[in-house]
Amino acid sequence: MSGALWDITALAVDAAVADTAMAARARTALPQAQETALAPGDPLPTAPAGGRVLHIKAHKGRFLRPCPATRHYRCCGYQIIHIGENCPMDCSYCILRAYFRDKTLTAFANTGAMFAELAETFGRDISRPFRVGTGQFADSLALEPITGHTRELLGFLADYDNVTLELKSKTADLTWMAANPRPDRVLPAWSLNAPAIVAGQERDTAALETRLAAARTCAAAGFRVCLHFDPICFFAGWEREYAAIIDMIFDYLSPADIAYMSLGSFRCLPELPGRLTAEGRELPDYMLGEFAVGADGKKRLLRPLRVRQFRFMVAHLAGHGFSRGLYFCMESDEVWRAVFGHTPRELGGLAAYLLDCARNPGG
Amino acid sequence: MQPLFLHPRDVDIAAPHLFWAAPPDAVLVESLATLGQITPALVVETGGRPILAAGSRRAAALRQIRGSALCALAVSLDGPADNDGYAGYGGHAGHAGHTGHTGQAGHTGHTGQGGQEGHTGHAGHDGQGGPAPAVSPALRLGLYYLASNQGRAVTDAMAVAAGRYFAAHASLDDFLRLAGPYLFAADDRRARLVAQWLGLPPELDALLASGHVPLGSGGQLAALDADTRAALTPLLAAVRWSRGSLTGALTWITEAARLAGEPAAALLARCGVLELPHRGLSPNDLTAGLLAGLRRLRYPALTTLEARFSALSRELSRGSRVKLRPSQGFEADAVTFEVTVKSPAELVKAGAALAAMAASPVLPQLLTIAHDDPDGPVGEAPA
Repeated sequence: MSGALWDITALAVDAAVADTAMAARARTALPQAQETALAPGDPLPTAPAGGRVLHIKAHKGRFLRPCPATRHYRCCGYQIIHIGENCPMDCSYCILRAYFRDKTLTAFANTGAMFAELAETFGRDISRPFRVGTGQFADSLALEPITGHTRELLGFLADYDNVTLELKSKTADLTWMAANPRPDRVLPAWSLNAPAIVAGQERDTAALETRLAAARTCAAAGFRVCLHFDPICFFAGWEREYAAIIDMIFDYLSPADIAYMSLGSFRCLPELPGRLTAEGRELPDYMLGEFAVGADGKKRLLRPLRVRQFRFMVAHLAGHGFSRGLYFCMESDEVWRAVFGHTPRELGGLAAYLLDCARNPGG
Repeated sequence: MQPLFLHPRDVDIAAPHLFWAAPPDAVLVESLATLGQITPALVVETGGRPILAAGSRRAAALRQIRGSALCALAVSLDGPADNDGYAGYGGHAGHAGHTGHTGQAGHTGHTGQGGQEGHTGHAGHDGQGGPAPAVSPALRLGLYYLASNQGRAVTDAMAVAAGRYFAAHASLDDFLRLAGPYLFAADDRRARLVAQWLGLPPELDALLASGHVPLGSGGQLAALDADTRAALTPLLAAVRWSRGSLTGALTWITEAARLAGEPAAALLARCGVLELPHRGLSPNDLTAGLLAGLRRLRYPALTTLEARFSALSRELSRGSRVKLRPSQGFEADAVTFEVTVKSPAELVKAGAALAAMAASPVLPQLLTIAHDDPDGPVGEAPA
């Protein structure tokens, strides 16, 4: 590690966005980084001192896109505002490991184009509510101290009462609060996991206590938060570990502080374990579970074992008085029925249900 | 060069550098008895008892023929130094001490008298100048032996036997550099596999020689701890493993042990597979049984579901030609029914069978087979 923020030792800025506010903020935040101005077609520089490159560039495709879900399982209808790609944290289970093959971080600085596209969509019918987020191809807040992306976005969204923005992170960054957004239109969200998984399988993430303390700060400021248990891992002692983190949640938050919470069992592209071992990392125990290849081509824990995980989590959360807003990320109707006794259809559709949870605290 | 004529009992035919030595067969004895020795052996003169460098089978055969002498040529252990270019892997192998021995081609494997085929590939010593370490006498003896056997098909077990000898006197790299050209073609990946195998205890070489364990599994076996290997040895010796099967078996047992947090030997002792070799099963059934047992150990929940499905589907489809398959990975509460018909009458019959299945109380069990937790009640810790 170079000692630089997120080990970013090189800042590569495309000529097209060199004069943007984001590029200027990045230069200020990374005074030691070696800056390279990139003309079209130029290769990315190699980061000095074994660090990583932050590439500030323009995004040419659509900014608002649906979650890359498979039709074989129930998706929550999350819509992604595409602010950048890749994550400076390093979690053994992360799907981004399969999506992106190097450490380069990318932030899209052409926010003018992004806001124009979003304005057209969100402004077309302001009675139509949207639930959107930025934490799919990147951590929502990891680069916020450098790019100020979320603060810009929140400034734009101040004019769109119909949009609820979820900010999903494993950091404890709260600098976005400086944008002073409406507390009922922003859902700060944290990914949580068993303490043993956080300790052994996550690198450079904030401690669980730090994440939950940040969540408590948000709750105190009037925000409701979202929590995500994804992936829930299956390993010796998993119940004790997940019980511990669930108990810890309610040391910091009350059930009413939580808008919704997702549960997702570990699943991965079949090549992920090989990718890990190719990096010289030992395969974690949780990747040695009994997996079957699901209809989406991903390896998933055998269904009865997933149901066992989910029943345990749901029961333990219910013991703390939390049940409304609990849902599965990418699960089948069979699993919904086995654990909850109903399917998303009976909730009026998962996307609609979560919109309701997001916008109506009382339910 | 004048040949020497030695009494065949005056040479040691079981010296370690004669690592491929084997008893003579009747054809060789008969050939020597009727035609005489047409290819000389090689010896190193020591001033005392000569050291047999090549020709152990001929010497052993001649011991059986009363009054016969072993004809041998003397070679020296004082050869050229070991320049980097000497015997470079994939290149030539120079044999200064063998320059007079070419022309003895015609050896026909084990039944022939000759021990050496022509060294046509040896272009001579390609020294690169400067002092270089001498090849030790032990290594030179091994190289003479290999050179005298050049042209002979080298099995995996033979390569390992050679490797054991050289590894006792040199590093693995030196073994591959010096002996490799005699053992492997330039692009033969067996060189790497033999090097991996040499990490195993020599006791396992017999399983390679007998064809029970393939050379390619050496690396995986070498990665096991000694206790696990010892526990597995009866299973290794029980069947002739293909590399794929053995890879699966070893992966399952090591992963199951890791997940269980207990030694593989303890798991093996508990799961019953160690009893299978004593049940008089056919080789195919024994292999299948061992693999199934080890897979059950690694995937207890999945194999339990499979077994339940198999039992219920047999019960449901009994008497019909309908085949049943579960959903992929038991992900859905669904079963695929498959039937092949060759005539309308067969379709009618299949339709009746399917109708009967639809009314069977077994079908709901089959459709909900993944509802039960195969490992026990909710909340139980995994293995």
